[in-house]
Amino acid sequence: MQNYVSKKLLFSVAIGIFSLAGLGMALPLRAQKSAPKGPPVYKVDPFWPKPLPNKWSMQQIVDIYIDKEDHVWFLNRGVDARPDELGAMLKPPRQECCILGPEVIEMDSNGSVLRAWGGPNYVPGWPGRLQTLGVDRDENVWISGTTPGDSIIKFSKDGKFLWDFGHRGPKVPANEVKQNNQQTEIFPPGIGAFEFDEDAREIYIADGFLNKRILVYDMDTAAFKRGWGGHGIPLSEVDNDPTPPYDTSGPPPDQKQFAPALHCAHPSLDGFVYVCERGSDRIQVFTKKGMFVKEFWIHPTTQSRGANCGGIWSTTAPSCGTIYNLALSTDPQQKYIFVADGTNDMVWILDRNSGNVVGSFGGNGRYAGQLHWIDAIAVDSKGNVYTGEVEDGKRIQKFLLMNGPK
Amino acid sequence: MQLWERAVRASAIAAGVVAFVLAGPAPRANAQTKESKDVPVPIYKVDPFWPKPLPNKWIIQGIPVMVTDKDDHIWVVSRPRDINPDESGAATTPPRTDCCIAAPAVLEFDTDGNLLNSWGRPDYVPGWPAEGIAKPGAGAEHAIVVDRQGNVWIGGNARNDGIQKFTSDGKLLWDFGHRQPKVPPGQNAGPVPMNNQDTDHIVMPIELFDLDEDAHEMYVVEQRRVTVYDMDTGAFKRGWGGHGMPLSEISNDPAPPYDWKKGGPPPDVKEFVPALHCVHIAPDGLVYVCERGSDRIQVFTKQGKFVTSFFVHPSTPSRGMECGGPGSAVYGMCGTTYNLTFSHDPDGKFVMIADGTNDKIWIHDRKTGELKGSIGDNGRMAGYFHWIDAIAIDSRGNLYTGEVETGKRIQKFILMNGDKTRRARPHE
Repeated sequence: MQNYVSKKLLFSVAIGIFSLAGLGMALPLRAQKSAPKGPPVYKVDPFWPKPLPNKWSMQQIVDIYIDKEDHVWFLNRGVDARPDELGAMLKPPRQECCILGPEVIEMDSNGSVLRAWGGPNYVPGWPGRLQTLGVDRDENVWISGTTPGDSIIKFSKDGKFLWDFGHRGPKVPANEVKQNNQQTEIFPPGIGAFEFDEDAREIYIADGFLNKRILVYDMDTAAFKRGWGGHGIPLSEVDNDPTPPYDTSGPPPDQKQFAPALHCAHPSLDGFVYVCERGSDRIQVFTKKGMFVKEFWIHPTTQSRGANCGGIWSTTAPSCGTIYNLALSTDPQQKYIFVADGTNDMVWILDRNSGNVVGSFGGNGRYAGQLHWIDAIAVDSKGNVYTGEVEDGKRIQKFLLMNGPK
Repeated sequence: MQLWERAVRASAIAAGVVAFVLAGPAPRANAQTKESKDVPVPIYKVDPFWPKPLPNKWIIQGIPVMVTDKDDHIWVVSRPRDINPDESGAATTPPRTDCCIAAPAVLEFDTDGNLLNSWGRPDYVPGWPAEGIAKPGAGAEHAIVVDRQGNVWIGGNARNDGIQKFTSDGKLLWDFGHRQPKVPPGQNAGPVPMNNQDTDHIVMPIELFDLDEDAHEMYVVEQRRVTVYDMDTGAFKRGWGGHGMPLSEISNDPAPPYDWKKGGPPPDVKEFVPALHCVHIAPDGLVYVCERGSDRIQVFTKQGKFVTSFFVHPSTPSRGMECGGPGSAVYGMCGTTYNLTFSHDPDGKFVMIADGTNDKIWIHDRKTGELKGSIGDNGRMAGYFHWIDAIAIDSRGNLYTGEVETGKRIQKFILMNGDKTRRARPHE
């Protein structure tokens, strides 16, 4: 609890720079000013990326991945496109712009499109609602989705189908899918977040839109290897009950079981796995074998779950939870964690070791450098941060590191 | 038409966020007079860091209209009722999210983007637009004009709305009246039947209006007519319909649909086709009316004599059953002439038209109606638009735009090839 209080204090300092954040800038905290090298400072590049070609409409940017060439791969999820954005698709066109563009897009760091492919019916089994994209060392592109029947599919960078991860559940209405944290054969709700550990040829899956567990599979054979629940409990001990609500006048309770949604699982270079537990405003850290190491709460005054949580397009309630995704900084030590908080529309910069908030940028709004439903975050080798927005945010933005190594 | 459409598309992609000029950067049309030759088509570049962040966790909402005043202050109507729960988490007790709270309805900015003053909200005074209406759809704040004395005139587009005059600090001075009779409690209001002959009432409030302060007159557009009132007494002075027809000849029947799939333009009907979405007086005294229901601008003398008309991107459907409003999951919207302003040169050679359907500002030669360029495109990045509805110009020729639906922004575009002369034309 003491730890929580100190974080809250730090946060109130962070919020002091909020008005500047609206300008697309994050300034270091006063306390860090005298440090030899303070936390990273960012400024939005308002003219990145270049306009999409061919009248493609920019849609919900639900995930971003930076490959080894610093190319920016992102999912341009089209399922929530609106007619006022697609008038050029009709025959005859009824508006100058736009058409539904490809759902997988690769850009260079200048924001020019290099490759683009994919979309509904591109191959059998194309996800109904895209969620995650990853690019492996061999430049293959992996994508997943979150409707029942969705799985992970692997393509060449040019969009040639290579392999299907399988483990698909039946195509049934989403409300018929039941929680089952013990079986590891299929993913009935589809597959949300995943990430590779290529040295070990493993793939980590955050099975946590309904279930509450982390599963690890062989990334070549798709064979199940291991899994665990909140605080590293064995799968056999993960309950299959809905997560109880909590008294939202305080922070979410420190419960043992994961609270869905689990929104990411990212291995670090030094062998830990960072899990986004959005349902508890929390990051849990594990060894790769699933041993619990530590946890950080992020802005836990924000309601993390409950009946009065709005999804996208809700006209009755705001959304809940603060950990939509995270990215580790690309310095060898991976000193920082960048947390995408789609409820407060902020990027929180954490010291990875302590979990303390050392900076932030963003702010709820539609201007360059502000964010509306940030859901995606990625860092390139130079330390620049890319963000993606869903709901009616529908943007990808680039934030330049202002105090990086020359 | 096909040809210019293609040219526009190609240039829009090449030029990206900033403005471009059709057919090369230097318009040296040999047939033009010396005077017009010297006025280049304006070129604009977005200022992505304008305005400055609002204080008090305020978030700007749908911007249906904005104007500049004689001091180059930018007055903006932000519709507080457009706010969604994911934007108003700081308004709950305790706050659910860090941000935000709906900004007041009237916001005054300087050209640097500093907020100078703010006031107004639903039910701010009796008769404030859309009284008793919780959510937009049935009406909201819809118009603002600031006069030479600095008074602020506000109009709404709900059934009983009128026009109210405030001091610059938001003190109510005068109510124009001419409102629809109030529906007694418990009775179903129903639609107001069109009546273009009734000059005692604003019949179907869209409530777009402008002032001719030299003549102390107020121009109002609604239904299928332009009406002119004394801006001090509210007395009716004159009015006319499409192509300058007398009020007595205007039909009160709905406008017939047309087959937009044939590629347009909409039929050249004599009557105005609603919605009429702006009225503005050009530097030479001509009156420009946005006839959104025909993708058209009609031009009149102040006495209502028809001068000319021209279509704006008329392949766009302008009306009919297949027109979606804000939030429509079925149809895009219709019409291309949401509002307009005149270029910065002494004569206002060009008219710049906010097209919320194509999310463009079209730059037309004001006299010939010829398309000369465009700014922007559909999207959420800086310099793009999502449902542009508002446009205004300051004394240096810089443009300001406002977006509704989920656009919810004001933006500033810097004039890159102006003559640096200060030329104030308030409430254009």
